[in-house]
Amino acid sequence: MIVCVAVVGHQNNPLYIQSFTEADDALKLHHIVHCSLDVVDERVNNPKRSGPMLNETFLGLLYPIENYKVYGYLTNTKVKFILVTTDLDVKDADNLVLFGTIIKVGVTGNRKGGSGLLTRNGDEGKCKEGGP
Amino acid sequence: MTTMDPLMTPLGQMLLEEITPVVMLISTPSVEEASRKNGLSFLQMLTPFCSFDNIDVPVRTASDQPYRLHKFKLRLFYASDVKRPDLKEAKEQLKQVISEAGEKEFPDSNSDLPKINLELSSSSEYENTPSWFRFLNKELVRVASFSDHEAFDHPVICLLAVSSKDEQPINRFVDFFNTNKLPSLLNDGAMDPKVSKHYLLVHDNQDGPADRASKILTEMRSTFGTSDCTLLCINSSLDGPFKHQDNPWASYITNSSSSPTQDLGCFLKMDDIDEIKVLMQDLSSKHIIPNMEQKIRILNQQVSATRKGFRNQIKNLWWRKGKEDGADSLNGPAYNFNSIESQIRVLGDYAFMLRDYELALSNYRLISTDYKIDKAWKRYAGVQEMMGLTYFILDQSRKEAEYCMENAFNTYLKLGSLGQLNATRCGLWWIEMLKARDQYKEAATVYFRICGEDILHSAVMLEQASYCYLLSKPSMLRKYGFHLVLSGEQYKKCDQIKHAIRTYRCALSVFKGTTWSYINDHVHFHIGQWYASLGMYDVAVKHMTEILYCSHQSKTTQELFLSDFLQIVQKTGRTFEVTKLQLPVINISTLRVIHEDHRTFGSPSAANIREGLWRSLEEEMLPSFSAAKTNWLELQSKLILKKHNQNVCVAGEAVKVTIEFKNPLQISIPISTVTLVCKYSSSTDEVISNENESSMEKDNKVDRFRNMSSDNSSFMVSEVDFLLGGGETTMIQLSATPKEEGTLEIIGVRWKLSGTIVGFYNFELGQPKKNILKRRKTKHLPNEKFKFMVIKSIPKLQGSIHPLPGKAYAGDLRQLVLELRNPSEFPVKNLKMKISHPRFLIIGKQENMMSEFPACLRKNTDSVQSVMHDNPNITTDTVFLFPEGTSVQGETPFLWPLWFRAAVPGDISLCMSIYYEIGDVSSIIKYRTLRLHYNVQVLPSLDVSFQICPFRSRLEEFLVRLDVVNKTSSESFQVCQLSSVGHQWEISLVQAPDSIFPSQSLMAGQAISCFYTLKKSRRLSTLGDDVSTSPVRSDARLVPQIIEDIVYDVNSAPLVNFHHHERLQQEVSSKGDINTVDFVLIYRPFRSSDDPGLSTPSSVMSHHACHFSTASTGPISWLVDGPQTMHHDFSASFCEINMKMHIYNSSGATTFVRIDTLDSAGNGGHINSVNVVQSATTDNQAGWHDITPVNELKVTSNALETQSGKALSLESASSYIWSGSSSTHLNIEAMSSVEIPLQICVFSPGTYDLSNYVLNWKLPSNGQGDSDEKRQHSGQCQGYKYYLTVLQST
Repeated sequence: MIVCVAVVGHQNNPLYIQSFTEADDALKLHHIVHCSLDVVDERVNNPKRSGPMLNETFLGLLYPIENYKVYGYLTNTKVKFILVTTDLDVKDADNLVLFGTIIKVGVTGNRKGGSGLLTRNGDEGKCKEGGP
Repeated sequence: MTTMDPLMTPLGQMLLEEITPVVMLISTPSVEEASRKNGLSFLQMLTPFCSFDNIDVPVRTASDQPYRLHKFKLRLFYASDVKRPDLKEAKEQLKQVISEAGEKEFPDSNSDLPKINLELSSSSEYENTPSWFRFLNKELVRVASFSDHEAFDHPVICLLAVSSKDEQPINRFVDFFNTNKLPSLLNDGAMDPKVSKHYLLVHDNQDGPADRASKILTEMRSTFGTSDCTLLCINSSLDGPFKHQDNPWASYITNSSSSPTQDLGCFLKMDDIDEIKVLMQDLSSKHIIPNMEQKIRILNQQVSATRKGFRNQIKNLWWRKGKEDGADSLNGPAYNFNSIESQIRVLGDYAFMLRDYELALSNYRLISTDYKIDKAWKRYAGVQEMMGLTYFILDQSRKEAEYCMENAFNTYLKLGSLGQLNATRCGLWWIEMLKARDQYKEAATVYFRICGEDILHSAVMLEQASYCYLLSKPSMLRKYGFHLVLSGEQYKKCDQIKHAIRTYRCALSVFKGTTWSYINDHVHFHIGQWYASLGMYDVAVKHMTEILYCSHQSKTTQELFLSDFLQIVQKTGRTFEVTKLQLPVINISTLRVIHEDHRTFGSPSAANIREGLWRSLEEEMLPSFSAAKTNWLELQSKLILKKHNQNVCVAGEAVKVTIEFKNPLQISIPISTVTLVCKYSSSTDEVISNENESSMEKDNKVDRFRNMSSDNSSFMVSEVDFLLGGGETTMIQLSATPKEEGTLEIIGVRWKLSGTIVGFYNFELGQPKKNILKRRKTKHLPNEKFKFMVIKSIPKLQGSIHPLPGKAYAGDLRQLVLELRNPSEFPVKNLKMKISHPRFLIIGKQENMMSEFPACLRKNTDSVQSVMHDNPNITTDTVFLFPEGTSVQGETPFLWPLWFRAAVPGDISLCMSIYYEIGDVSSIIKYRTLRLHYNVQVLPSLDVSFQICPFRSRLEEFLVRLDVVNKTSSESFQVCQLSSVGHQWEISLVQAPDSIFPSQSLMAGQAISCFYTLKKSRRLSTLGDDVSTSPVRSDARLVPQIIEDIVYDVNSAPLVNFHHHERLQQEVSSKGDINTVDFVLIYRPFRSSDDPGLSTPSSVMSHHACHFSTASTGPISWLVDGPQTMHHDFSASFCEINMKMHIYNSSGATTFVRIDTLDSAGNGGHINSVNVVQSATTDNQAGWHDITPVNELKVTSNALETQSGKALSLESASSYIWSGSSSTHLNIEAMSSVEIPLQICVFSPGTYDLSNYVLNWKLPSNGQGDSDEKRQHSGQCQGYKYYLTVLQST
């Protein structure tokens, strides 16, 4: 199950965090997403260590924490998409597809004047290029 | 990676300290008593001298190659302590250590937040992590000591201490070895009870000379052997306490509760200390190390014999398989100290302690498989642990070392509570191993794994983990913060509030300045709460104020935050003053300071109008600066103002500040006593305060407020209370009124939130930087805006216009009254006034005050002349001067009439400025202006349009079509009359009014059209050129006379003025065109019953339509005059018909006109041109007729008058010719008409259209025509249809 989807701006500022759980765990998820940025930074700075990947922008499993697994996706404009799941056995390919969908929704929703996730940084157009 | 000697790493040092031979100490009470004199136990007395930095002892273990030991350490334990530490006790002890550390490390509440220094972190771990971690970790390792599964805690020697005071000392020595007094570990077989012994006789020199002691020593030597007995004399300092410069015990005695550290060992002279040193060194080098060497050699031989070699291994395996069934218990089989497995372990540990790591490792490996097969997991884990450490020290295989540590750790964890302590110790060693190799991130995960069920324990481990993230390269600050928060949470759970605060404060340094507001809020909120729980409310409030701006939080959270905040503030027991209170939010960009110097404002809205607008309005009224030079007094006053370059305000008049307050929360917040904070000084000469002062102000702002609020005798400030609802924004107006002359400075605004907490906002600091920069450019200091020079009280006019409607329909005409009051005792004079929109508002005359409206508009037929006086030019665009001698003072208001007309729909902002001079000459300010401002919303009422077309049948007569549409949604109007204003125009209605308005009114949305005849009045055309002074109007009433008798006079006072402004407004391009007509439509709201409406009843509304040109086709109009029907006998001759053409020149200049008659198109249109100039030249015009021969004449025999148009057009074509001149040129004087004879010849009966002629006209290019380039100078007019029927006469 997807617990949380977050979009983080290129200055590591939270743009959007949506939790899909019933519980009041906003703070916890904020912390998890915030921490994952450390790992994103690490991945970006040492790209070789993470080995061959499906897509350069897909960061794969960032780290497991408690019962969650955190996945990341980095667009060309350094906007990060963070996904927190409880699924312990997920294929990277599946996640990649999921990220693609999330980004598409983010971009198109934006166009329709919907969520407005990306406009704050003016990343709207570029973001699409980073997508799969 | 470092190439550091593993023994020099923290882990190496730790191992050299912790895994060292144990000396079991047994002493008599009198020994303890003697040492107690120094504030030390006997053990403590010896401890500092158990560690040797350069003992330099040669060692030879299993191999023949000797090596030298330099560093060596002994661990001393009382026999009673040689046991597993009590778990409960240990826990208590740990808790105490943590609590003490919490007190010690608790940050000063006033100190700044800890800063993360990344550069520093690269230098050393120990500078960044709290020192008590190391102490705590040591304690944790110690708690796991004396376990039966490992051998390095087995005592290698037993030190027996008996005092020379003791009775029968020899027996005491023997007594010690009564088995029941020995530690249980030795007795139950876990340890070898046959420990070698060393006999120590302790002599207290204070008890007297050592004679008896030497005697006992000889006795001892004879009993126990010479080498194993030693005499130790202590307390040689007989004459008094002895202070040690470098107290060797100070660093060992942690609990300073018993005595201050400098008193420790006060009776021990340097000789005593040297003696102890020698004792311990001899013990180590002459007894312990040789003993261990010997044991290693013996054990090694045994092990080699029984376990080494292929045969032994097979045998061992076989034997162990057979044992398998019985070994079910969790800890495997019990191994006695003399079992071969225990022996191997002892061999390994001894070798380890003597630093023969190769030997140790080989034995550990050997035993490891055995334990594994035996499923003796704890022992297995212990051996794995030691293997890991040995690998590390040998620096051989890092992977192997880590694997062993992980294996050991996991195995310990599997054991559950049994292995918990060991797991912790193993984890700590593992972590140190990882740290030594800069693998901080991995170390952090191990810390995370150490976190057991004990909350306090996990809190400490999490905190240590966080520091690992900080130290990892690159630093993982976010994880550092996160783990600190986790740790703080755990600390809180076990009431370690101070630790919790400390960790959260550290975490804050990570989150500060980020936009992760949820986390920030959480951290601040909890720090605040915890400080409050410690009773440190001031700091608590400081943190709580950080979370007040929490618009992103849910409503319940906002409520929680606010209520907690207020509770804490209440607990402080005083009204708290905060300089950075974020609730409510002050929108500094909305700040406006309104002060009145020579400019005064009639209403707040007037102050909001741009200053530039007022300036341009007042330009003409104000005395100019150049003019002021003539008056030296005035010049001076200006200079004063200039010199100070400062705002001026008048004593007794309020300086107003408007500012916007915004509530970012979803809950409403009560705000009370919102006041301005001001500074007043009585000296007017004070120059702008220097920079230093302002910087000082920042520091003790809060103090200053209190001063301000108390000292308000010289000025008054207004107080405002209000409730800000969730998400609301309110504009607040505050005022400060100085009472005396001096200097007033507005510093900021203060308010009380929920009655308990006072917030302050400094305008100066809050000003946007951009503004300040801008001001700097103009060489103004930034605080200029808020500083005022207070001058003494002068009169101030108060004015208002009533009843000015807020809303009106377009065209609405009202009579208003301007009321001026002057409450002061000094009169004001020389009043002038100017209005921004004279189209909407004009100034009336004094006598209008008396007249009744709208009756005064009634046309007074008998006194035409009086109306004529109204020259509309009087009031245009100039300043209105009130009559000479007008002075306003005292109770009675000064009244003056005004006329208002809603000219066009839209929102109109009416500005008017009244200038007045002050009677009192001594004042700096000589004159003032009162600025009034009103907003009027004008709604559309009627949409009126006109169409004018000339009559073809009559010269200078026009048909006017009036279209009126009611644009309102509900209002009905009664259209009263249409009047024409212009040059000699008469207007009359074509139909009867009843037929146009059956219901007498125009309903909402209704449209009507009606037709008028417009006629140039000939009777007045003789009056001359000056038409503007003698306009003749004509009114056409649209209301039957029975209903309404009023005829409105459009030339009466307000209407004519408004009409004048409308004319100016509706200026069109044909300026020089004097041939225009203006219309004024008068209507009024229609009410069938007593319907309450927008405007007052009996009001009048007018619509002005100007500059309608009657000469739509050009300056000329003409009329063909001739017979319509003729009878002629064609048999006799062709018919010659004479006609006339009247041409009227309606332009203001002589027009050149050429008439070209065209013959029928079929004839080729040959035009003969003959110049005939009429009136100007007296050429012969009568004469020959050029008759063009007619070919192919088609004569219609059956041409009848009744024939259809189609037939006419077909058949009437070109059956006549123009006789007479085919082209006539003439100049027509302005405004005059000429008559030209025309002649046609008709050859057969029929109906003819005489329209094929063209009039070319040309205005002279010089003269009036030049004024307007756009104007047409020449043109051509097609002739219009004129039908002539010629019949055959019988």
